[in-house]
Amino acid sequence: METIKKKKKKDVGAIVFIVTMLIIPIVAFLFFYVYINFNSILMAFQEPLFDGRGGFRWGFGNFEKFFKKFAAVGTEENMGLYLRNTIIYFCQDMFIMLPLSLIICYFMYKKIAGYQAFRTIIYLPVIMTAPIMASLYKLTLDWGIVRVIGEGFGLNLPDSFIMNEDHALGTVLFYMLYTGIGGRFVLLGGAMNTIDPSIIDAGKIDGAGPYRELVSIIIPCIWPTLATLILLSSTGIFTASGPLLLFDQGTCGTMSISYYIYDVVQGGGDNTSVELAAAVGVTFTILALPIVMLVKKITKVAEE
Amino acid sequence: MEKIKRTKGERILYAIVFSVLVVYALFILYHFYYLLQLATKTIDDYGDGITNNALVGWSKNFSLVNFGKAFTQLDLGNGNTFLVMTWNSIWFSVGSMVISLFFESAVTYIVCKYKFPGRNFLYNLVIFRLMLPIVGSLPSAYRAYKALGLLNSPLILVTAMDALTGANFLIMYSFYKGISWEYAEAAFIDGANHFDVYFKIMFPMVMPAVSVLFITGFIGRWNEYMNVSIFMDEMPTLAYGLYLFEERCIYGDMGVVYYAGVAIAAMPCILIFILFQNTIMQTVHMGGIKG
Repeated sequence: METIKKKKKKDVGAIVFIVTMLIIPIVAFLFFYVYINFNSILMAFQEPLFDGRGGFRWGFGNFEKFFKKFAAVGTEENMGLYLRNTIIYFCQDMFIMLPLSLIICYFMYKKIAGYQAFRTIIYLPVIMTAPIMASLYKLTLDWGIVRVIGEGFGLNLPDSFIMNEDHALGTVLFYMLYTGIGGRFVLLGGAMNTIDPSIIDAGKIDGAGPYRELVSIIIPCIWPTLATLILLSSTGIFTASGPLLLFDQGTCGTMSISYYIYDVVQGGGDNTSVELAAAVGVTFTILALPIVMLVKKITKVAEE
Repeated sequence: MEKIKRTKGERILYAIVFSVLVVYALFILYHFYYLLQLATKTIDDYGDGITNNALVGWSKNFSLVNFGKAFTQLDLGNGNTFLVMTWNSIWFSVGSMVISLFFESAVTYIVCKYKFPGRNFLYNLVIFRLMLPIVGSLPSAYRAYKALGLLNSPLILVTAMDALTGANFLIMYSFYKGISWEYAEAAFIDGANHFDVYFKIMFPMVMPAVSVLFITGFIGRWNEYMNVSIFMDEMPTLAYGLYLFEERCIYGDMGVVYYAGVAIAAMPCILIFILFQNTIMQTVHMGGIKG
């Protein structure tokens, strides 16, 4: 490792190199991250005056409006519903998809029959453009094989699985499950491939079955990677969402917090709700921070 | 190769898992099979299928003509044809990945291999940023990009210069960490400077990882549609364009042409993945987060 202190002549070269290579990313970071997020906080406290000159006053009005949205039960602007859905999307990702990915990856690692074909096929939805997959999925449900088979068995299917408050959320969740399991294959598979085979052999000699092998050998061996994935997933606790733009645009009881913010900005970015959306974002960021720290602590304790 | 011996219980477990995976894989594959069925239908067959709630099976009048029509008839207006959107997808995906990987690699290399004041701060900053659960800075970003004239412009690529972030940092860090500094010392003795060492020795050594990150990142950018719908809505990429086409075409006479376009758009990612899947699956590994 190069230490910038020992030789004066080399130090200059190293300093020039470091400064040249870091200056652009640091400036970009200061603007595209620090400024934008700082401005986001400021926006949360700006209440538009509608004076035709873009004026605003400082205050907590946006937060007040935000909290009032929790009371708007039964309306389209029910923040409680958005929060509930967001937690559902998050829980499916963290507690269903991540464990399923881990288990399937384990069987791939153990070279289950056809594992190479399975690996390729299950990863396909991950690399496909979401509008394509969602379009085919919707058609399969509403006019395709699912409807034909379902009605063949005499089932009373809804006219639409998507534009239907009873089924929309389940339809989106199933879509996320079926297209998303392969998403962590690269990192989990890569981590499992680095395990020393002699460790697995030693476990076999001690009579470890698949469950014991996965829980007591594989998971501890890949824990740094797994813990990172858990931590990264936990950062999405209030940003988790389905691809709602491609389904019902949140109109049939699927709306999430992040899609609400997207929807506001997509409406033009200059309308009256932008500051409110910023307040929503700031509030949930503050709420998420201790949760992520707690998850980090738990993963660290588990490692020890 | 040593034959894997499994107990009876394990064989039953593997048979159950195998069966589940077969069903899952068939469900996925069916969508691609279905796409080909749709793309080769005639407009009449497609319309009948929608009307009768049974849009399944191959068309009696199998035809590939829709694939040609996709290039000429899928047009969003304002010059946003299928070919223009394909070009938008290419420059957006390639451009943003080249820029971001160039800076990410340089930042990671410097943080990993050089001791200088602020090094630990930079490392912790990247990790902190990775863990900071920011919700909804989109309104602020939209205003900032608008003020800078980045909306609906190739200048949007400058946002990729923000390289102090991401899981790519962790992946490249583990690669750079595995490279001995003795290569650099030998090069310094031969008269190389720090730029030579990075560009001619170190960067080529992490090329396998960078290539994989490029491929996976390219696929991600190619498929991006949410941010594109906000920051590039007047010059859509193929992914966002297909969403817009779906809204306009799926119930009308253009339905079959739309699905032919979808099949064409799906090709690059499928081909790239088939060609590089072993490289992707076997090259990448990520270390844990320290600190």
